[in-house]
Amino acid sequence: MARTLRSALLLAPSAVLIGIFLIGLVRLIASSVLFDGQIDLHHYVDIMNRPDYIAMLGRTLRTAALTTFFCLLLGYPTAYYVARYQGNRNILLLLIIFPWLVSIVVRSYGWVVILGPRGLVNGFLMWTGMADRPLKLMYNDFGVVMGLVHVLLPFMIIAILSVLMQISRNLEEASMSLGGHPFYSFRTVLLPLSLPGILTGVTLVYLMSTGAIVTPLLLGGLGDTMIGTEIFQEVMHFFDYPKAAALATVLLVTAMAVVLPLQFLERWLSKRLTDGAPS
Amino acid sequence: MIQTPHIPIASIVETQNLARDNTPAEPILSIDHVTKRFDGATAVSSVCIDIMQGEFVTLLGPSGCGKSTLLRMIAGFETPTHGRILMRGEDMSHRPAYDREIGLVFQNLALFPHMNVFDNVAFGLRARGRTDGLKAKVQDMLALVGLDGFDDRRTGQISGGQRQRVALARSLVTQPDVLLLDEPLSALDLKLRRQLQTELKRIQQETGITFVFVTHDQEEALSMSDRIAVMNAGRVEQFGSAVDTYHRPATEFVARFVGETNLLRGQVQAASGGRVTLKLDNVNATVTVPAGDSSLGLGTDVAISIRPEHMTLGTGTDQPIAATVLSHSFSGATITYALDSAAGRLLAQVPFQPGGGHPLPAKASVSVGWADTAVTLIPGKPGHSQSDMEN
Repeated sequence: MARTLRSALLLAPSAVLIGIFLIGLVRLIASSVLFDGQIDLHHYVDIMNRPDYIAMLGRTLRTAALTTFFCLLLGYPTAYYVARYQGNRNILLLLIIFPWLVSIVVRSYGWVVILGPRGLVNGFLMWTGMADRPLKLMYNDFGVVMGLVHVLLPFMIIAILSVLMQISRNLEEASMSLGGHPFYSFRTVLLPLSLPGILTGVTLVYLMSTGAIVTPLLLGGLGDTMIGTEIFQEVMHFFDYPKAAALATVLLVTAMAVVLPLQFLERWLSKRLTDGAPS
Repeated sequence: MIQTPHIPIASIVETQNLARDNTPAEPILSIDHVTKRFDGATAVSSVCIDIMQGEFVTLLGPSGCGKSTLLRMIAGFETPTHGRILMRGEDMSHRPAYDREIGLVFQNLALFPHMNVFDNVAFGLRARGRTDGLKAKVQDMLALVGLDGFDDRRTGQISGGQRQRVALARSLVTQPDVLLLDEPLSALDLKLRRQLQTELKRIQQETGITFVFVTHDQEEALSMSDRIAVMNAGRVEQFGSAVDTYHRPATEFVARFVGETNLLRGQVQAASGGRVTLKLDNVNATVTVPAGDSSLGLGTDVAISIRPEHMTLGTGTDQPIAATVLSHSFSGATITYALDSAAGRLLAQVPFQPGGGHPLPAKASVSVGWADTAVTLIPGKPGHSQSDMEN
């Protein structure tokens, strides 16, 4: 009895947390479809009928995909380097986490200084004569992806690092001693073993970039908003909560449409990779 | 390496024996004055070893003596600071590990956890693109190490001894020129270790592959090796057969590290006719012992090493060193006495004769001697060790 009680008490905080989260989620969806006790899907119909919203959704997913891709491209080698670093790894970890000490607004503004029309990059290009008028490096998708990669990269690095640290260096050496070239060793040993970390990182970064608000607002173009920014504006500027809720639900569903298959992909891949390497 | 079609182990042995007959002189692995420094610390110091095809060679030494570093250089994971590593006469020093024909059994085995037994063993063949008859080769190898039918097992589902066998099969299946083993048995309990030592030796003889085995266990080294390289502080103190290493230690370190020994120090008083006469330190005795190969000037500091089992005990004064019994331990066939003498603590292991009375009591006065042939003369000052001793 006492044990059951203790377990119940220990479970209580997480139950409260999950409960509140679920209530919020249910109320969010409800507020987008329930009007005067009637189910009414007109907000969803409106969204589907507006080409600019469809384009915005597509842009959001594309930006998130690109951000995730570049985070992975930059994050994996960094995580590998840190995992195999012989010296004081904590210093490197500190460098990776350091940007988190600075507000996301400040970090995004930092890019304005660098990428803006009179920013560092353009200033240098024009000073050297490599460009005669400022390149459009921000207020477009490029700027948003750049900003998001910067903001979200630590998540990817840490997700992959935590898995790489568990993989003994001996396994790579074993592969090499058996004639496995570095790329072969990577593909058949390191990659399959670090896949859980990669998929965790991808899921995290993808989800966070689909819902990004600040970075697209500061670095994105005026006309090409992302869905997170749009929701923000519906709430803060137009006070249209039902519409914002509908947009949020659409965002949730589309994000799940990518993340859930990713989870299945992880299981399928790890099963395939564990059952036998290609011969 | 030549792409070998699937052939039974027996014929592999034959071809390799043939190859050995054709090129008897060339070592399969040559360590040529190899030195390795890490941040100023010298891990391996000017080591020279030649290893022949089909030999079982052990690198023996205490931890930190450089044996593992040497092994990692042979494997290709470290580059020598100086010197060369040659395989079949070809300089390998700067070749990456995956371009060398070596196999390596790690101390922690490093089996691929995401693969089953079959895929672990098949890894080397696939990595090298030798997939013809892969299945048969892998299964032959699994049979050789006594793991037939284990193909589909996960590496986490099998016992420690079976994991050792998988690791061995995995590195042997590619038929490497040299198989390196980095203390692979150290984590096992004594009984299993003995069993696997016998197995290792059998597999080595059946495959005819050259083994370079690293251990700090001198018994393991003596029982398995054709030749032993005893290492200390980055140097090879002696490289010779197991019998020589034990019975003709080249340095004090070897004498002490390989088995128990009695070391008596002294100076050369006279040398003639292949024998030297020594004045022993702290003991009022001179002894005459065979000089061996060394030629020693008068007054040179030397030590002699006598194994406990070669000591003889007497009660009279006919033998050179007087001692008193401290204690004894009885082990069935023999009794080992710990003795106190002016030359220091001595050990004497004598056969136990049934009906020959009781063991000598403590404080009993005895005299200690030895058979002439059992003495090894070790030149050099105390603590000084010779390097680059080669056969």
